[in-house]
Amino acid sequence: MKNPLFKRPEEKLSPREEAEITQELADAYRQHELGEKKPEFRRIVENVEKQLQRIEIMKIGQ
Amino acid sequence: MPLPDTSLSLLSRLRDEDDHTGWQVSWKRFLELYNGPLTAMAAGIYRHHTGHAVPPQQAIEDVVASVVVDFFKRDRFDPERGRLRTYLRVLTNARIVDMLRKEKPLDHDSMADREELAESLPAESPEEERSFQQALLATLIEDLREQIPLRQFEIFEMVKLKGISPDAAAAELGVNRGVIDNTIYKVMIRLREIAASPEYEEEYEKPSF
Repeated sequence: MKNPLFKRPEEKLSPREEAEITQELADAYRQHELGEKKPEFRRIVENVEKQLQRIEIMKIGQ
Repeated sequence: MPLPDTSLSLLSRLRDEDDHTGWQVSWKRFLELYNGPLTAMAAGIYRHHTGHAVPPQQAIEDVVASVVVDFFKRDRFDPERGRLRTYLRVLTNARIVDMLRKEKPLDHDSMADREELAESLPAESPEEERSFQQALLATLIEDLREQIPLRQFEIFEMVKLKGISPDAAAAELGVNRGVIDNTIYKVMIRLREIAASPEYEEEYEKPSF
């Protein structure tokens, strides 16, 4: 079944569909907020930064 | 204030080859949004290639970090040729296969098996699908935030994302209840206009492999 969020904007949503969209958005927002606070997220950021620094160093050496 | 025409600003910038300004910010933002699905992808693909072994946390984090670097370094994502989620799965699979190769040096006979392994992508798990959809909705919220006045987003965030009642939001912001209702109405229309882009819907639906 099509997610009501992707109905054409001119189509009217039922209260149930509107509530469904609100719940999904709130869940996604909460997950996003939680994800940024996890220690593994910070470790991955540091890991990416190290890899990018290595790439930059390699570029300078070429 | 007129609203910008671009409806997919964040996803568009990810693949805009000419716009390299703020690149360092972009990868962090991308990771904030897609860390969840990338982790789920990496764990699922690891299990697929190892006969359902439990993926080591450190290895999964290394793979996710490498996929993010690959994504920005290669700059080859082409929406004309496929979806973002499929492209990320291909990058993740390649990194997992590389990692397994390094863990277990191969003899010549098993090399062919490994080549087949690299071509084999598992079906998307329900956890991965859900995680990707949530990341996409978070992207949509980010796009909305950039396209409406801050005050409107603040009201939307309070009522729709944080579950604060319209009356409580009106009291906290010192406005009439009608202002809250009108703002929510307008913002929901704008949100649906952004979501109406075919790319958003295509990315949201589960791909068939």
